[in-house]
Amino acid sequence: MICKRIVSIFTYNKGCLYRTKQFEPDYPYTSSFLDCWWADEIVALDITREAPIDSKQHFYDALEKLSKTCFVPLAAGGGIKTIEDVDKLFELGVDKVVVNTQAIQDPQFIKKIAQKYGTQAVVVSIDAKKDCDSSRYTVYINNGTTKTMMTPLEWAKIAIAHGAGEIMITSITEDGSLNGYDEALCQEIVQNVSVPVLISGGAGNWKHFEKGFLEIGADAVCTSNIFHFTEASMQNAKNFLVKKNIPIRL
Amino acid sequence: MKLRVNVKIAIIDYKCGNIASLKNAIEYLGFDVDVTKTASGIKACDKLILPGVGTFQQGMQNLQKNNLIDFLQEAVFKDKKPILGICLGAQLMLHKSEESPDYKGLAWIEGSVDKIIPADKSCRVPHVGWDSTFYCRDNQFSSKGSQEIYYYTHSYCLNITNVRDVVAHCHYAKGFTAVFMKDNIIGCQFHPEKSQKMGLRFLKNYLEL
Repeated sequence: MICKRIVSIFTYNKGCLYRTKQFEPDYPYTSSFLDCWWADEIVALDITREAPIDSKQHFYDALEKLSKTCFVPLAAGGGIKTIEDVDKLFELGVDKVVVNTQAIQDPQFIKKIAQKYGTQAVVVSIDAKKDCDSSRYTVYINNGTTKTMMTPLEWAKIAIAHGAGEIMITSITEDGSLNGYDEALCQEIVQNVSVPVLISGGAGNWKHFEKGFLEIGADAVCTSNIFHFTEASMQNAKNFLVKKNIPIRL
Repeated sequence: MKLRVNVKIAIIDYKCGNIASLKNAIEYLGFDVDVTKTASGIKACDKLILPGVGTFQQGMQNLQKNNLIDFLQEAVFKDKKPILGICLGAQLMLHKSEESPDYKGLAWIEGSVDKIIPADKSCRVPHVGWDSTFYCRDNQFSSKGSQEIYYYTHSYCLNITNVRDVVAHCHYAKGFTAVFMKDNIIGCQFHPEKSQKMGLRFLKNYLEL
């Protein structure tokens, strides 16, 4: 039967790996922490804020290097605006693209990518935060800085109608918190869409992964916590989940 | 890895494949690989790979645009070179696809490409992830009765007409063919170049045929 997935998120700032907290680059770490052998998928995101002319090139160089020894699926995103940006990523060895802001500003962009590369090649990433005075969640774009008028589910349904193959839902508040995934936010998406759902933001330990699979019902859990990246820790995480009868690739 | 001389692999470049990751995998396994779309490039190789990421329509259009169909038919049926179709590449080898009803496939293998219909609410489409694959007859890739785990990412699946052409299947949704093989023509629905140890082993077995 199909396995649940643990997805490692690598966030790059000007071509260097950075850990983030509430979407801000927090501190850099070296690639010796990276483990491309136990993760089920890798998502590489360019979170560079300032945009010097050659900033994308640093990211492309990092991707090219990563794809040489990455024999698991590699998704990439961060500032993808045009079909040429998408073409470039596929040329570098990327398998799926992750789109966010541009997709909301122009949902036809999702359709364009899906028509050329297939729906399974498009992951629409949705970042959300709870409104201060209610329990309602709202979608944010531009690295979590600009509020939109939509709820995550409203946008997810539109994205899927335009050809999104997977939805990645991220809690801005929980990013880097190590407190666990935002259950209410994630569950609403998982229970109401028919495409695979990846949940992100807040994973701190193996129990969060377990909850993500068994209680939230996610198809994939994402983590960018560097402490999950050592050979031993990812292996430990998987052994823990197998003991909980969660189908996972060992 | 030591380069294995005298075996040259050609990846067909028809602008529909994740060529870079496939090339990386083949080189990692120690084989000489060329990315080509010319008759001479195809002639010069010992084995072919037809990759595929995209839609059936795009795939067939691109093969036609580059005059590749004739070159490939000659290599496969006259020169009897082994060819491995991966994902969309495998789908194009069949007669037709529900994804693009106006387009005919290469018709090398009896069968059609059907939309994956979810078996129940928990069954997501596209089929994305690592899934069990069962080998049902003697073959060069894995022993009969064995189970491997490969990475799949597709919304349409292989429906092979003749049981004798089926080498392995996957039970997702209503079930579908995961690997087919007829003479020198092989196809796999999953991505071996993205399926780590088991996938690299599958690829190595093909390259060493």
